[in-house]
Amino acid sequence: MNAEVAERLRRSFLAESLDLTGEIEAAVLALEDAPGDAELLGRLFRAVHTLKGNAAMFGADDVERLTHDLETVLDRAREGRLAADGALIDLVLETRDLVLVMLGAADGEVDPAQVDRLTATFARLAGAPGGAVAPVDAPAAAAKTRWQVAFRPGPGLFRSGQEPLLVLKELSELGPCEVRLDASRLPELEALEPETCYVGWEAEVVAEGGEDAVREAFMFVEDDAEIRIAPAPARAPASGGGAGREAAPAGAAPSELRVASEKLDALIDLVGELVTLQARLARRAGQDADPELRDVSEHLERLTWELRDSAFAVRMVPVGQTFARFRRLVRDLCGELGREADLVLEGGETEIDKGLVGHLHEALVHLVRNAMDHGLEPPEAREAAGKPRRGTVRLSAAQEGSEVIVRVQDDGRGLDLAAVRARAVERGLLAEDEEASDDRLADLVFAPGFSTARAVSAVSGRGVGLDAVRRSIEALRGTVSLANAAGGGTVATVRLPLTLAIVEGLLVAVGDERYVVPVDTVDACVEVGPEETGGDEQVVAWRGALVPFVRLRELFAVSAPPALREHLVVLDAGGRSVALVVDDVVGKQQTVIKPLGKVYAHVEGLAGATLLGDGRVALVLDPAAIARAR
Amino acid sequence: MADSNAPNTVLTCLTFDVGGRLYALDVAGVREVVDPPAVTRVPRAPSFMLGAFNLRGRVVPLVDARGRFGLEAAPPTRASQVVVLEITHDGVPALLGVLADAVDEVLTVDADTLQEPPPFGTRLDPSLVRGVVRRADRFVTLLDADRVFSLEALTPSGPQTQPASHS
Repeated sequence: MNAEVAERLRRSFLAESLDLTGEIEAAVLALEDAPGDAELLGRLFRAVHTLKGNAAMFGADDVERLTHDLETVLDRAREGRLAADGALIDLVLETRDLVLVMLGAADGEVDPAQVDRLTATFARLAGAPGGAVAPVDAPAAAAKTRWQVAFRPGPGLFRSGQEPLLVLKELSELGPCEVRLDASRLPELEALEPETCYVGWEAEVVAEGGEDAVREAFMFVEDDAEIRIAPAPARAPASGGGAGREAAPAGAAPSELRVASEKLDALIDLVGELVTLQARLARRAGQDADPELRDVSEHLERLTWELRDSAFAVRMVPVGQTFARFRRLVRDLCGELGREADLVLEGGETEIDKGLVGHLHEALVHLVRNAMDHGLEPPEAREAAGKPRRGTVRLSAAQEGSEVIVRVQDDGRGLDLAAVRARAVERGLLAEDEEASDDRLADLVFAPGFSTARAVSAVSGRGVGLDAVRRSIEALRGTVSLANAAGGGTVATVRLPLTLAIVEGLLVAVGDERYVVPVDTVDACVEVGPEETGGDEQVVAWRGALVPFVRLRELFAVSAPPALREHLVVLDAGGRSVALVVDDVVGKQQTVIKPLGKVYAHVEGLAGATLLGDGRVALVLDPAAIARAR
Repeated sequence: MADSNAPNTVLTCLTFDVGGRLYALDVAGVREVVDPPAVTRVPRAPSFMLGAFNLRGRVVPLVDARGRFGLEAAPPTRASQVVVLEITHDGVPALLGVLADAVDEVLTVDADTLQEPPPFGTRLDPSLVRGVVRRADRFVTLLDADRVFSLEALTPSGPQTQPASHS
């Protein structure tokens, strides 16, 4: 390390340490006003911990020793085994002042006697064996867990000034620890670059305080390294006493494994291939008389489906992470719009395909803004109406069958259907004297160009309206609707399929072409004759209503001669019924949806492509887009 | 996409026949050559977009080179082949099949010997052509794959090629 780099590091160490001592002071003074506040204690602990890490990295041994001892004491306070009272606060402040002197950032000399006195106090408070301080109570968090830790630094670790040995040292301070070096990626000596980190470590450590306590050891390197922490599998009971105490308690927090999303996508692609190939084999085996082949094929089918389900489960993430981001939005919107509102989150554990998360978030931003802007009244208006000043926006998620339902509900004034009606007539979306149900009126809010907002506010009226929300949700094969909630207020309901990539498909034929319709959108299939679909109106009577239909042969200009008898496939396209007229309905099949490529992105009515059992490509239809294209 | 149009560079090209003329593409952008596959028509696309086919599990669009170059479509013959290209559309890497009347050979071309395309007798806009090189008694037109098969050129909004001015 040359002098210039060393000087730069020293300055950045000093600057950071000064920040941290400031943070320590602020936290401990706040703690004085709120004794025992867990959050403040955590803040204080983290600042001391970071200061210790900095000192260790920079080689300020005296500061490191002092802060290490203080950290130990604070940890006990955090666990509730030591009172965070005035004496502790004085001790923290004294230590902080001494650290500043040690760093040369404050006037004065380091008094060795003071250091010894502090060290002794720390030792007493830290409760050396048989120490004077009795545990306040024995918290459950003290249960020890054996963790398996993999620490694989990136090649640039040394260049960013990190010292992996310090990390390992810290890890070993958590409890009994075994460390193994993984030098498998070490190159030949000729190829070795001294500044590149080639090695990694695996460790088993018995620690208390859960995964976070272990992860804390990696605080400074987690950006430059791959770190995996998981509870170790329970050891055979024979391995020493106290196995039951060490083993991960049943129901311990599930550990997580970070996986690059490309790896996951590759796995899903392969499973998709397998599903397609298996369908092909099953078809072939069905035509074959060989019982053993059929047996193998059926077995493979079961396995494939299980594999498919497991692989897709990996893609699922809890929707709570997305929800949490709305706290800030609601807070900001309160200020911007002059509202007072609380956000209530429910069903955050509901899982959703990770590919849907971004789109869902975008749609919810619009819906939450809409609820805050148009749904909730200003606080004064609420009070005048005898409601609490603060409104509530409820964001909830639940799984129903193969769908995830997400709702945005407010306790505001509700949809003014008369105003919606007037606006729709004004916009030519509804005839003056046309009868329209409440549902129909509520749905008109999603029509392009519709907006009941009198003035264009900075929040909701910025170009993209609810029609854009509907389009983006429908592109995911979902639906969105708005209604007045039973207890007052408005509720927006978003329904999304659990996963995007595999659907149950209905194979239909037009001439010699095959198309796939997602089964979850199909209401019914019936055979029809020319007397039913022959008229010019392009509507067909279905269950007492007139449903518009689209003849796929015409929509897609299929050149084959028309069939004598046709089939009607009635679809639910985002709340609207639309029927497809096809020549024949061939059957169901597992459909892996693959992208058709940008060159065909302009073709309306297609959701993608899939491979049929015989290996040919078939196009997957998008009912909502077909309804629009009509 | 690898573009080695620097001076003193030797280009390795795949040459293929479309309507009796020889064209070439830099092999760096060529993934493979396959026999004409079963093709599924995609509706509402330009007529030279023949559809999509299954390339070992991937769905790949197929463009008819004759149609793209403004020639009449012709039924595939025994010599017809599909050149599978790796291209970039909207910043996303994609595969594209190009149906050619025949695939000829792999040719090494010294970039210095590339000539400007003649102002007449070409089927394609000169901006789509990297140059012309003479090989024995024939001219080979080296194409700029990213331009000839750009997203704009393959979708309805894009400029349609003019019918060929046959020499």
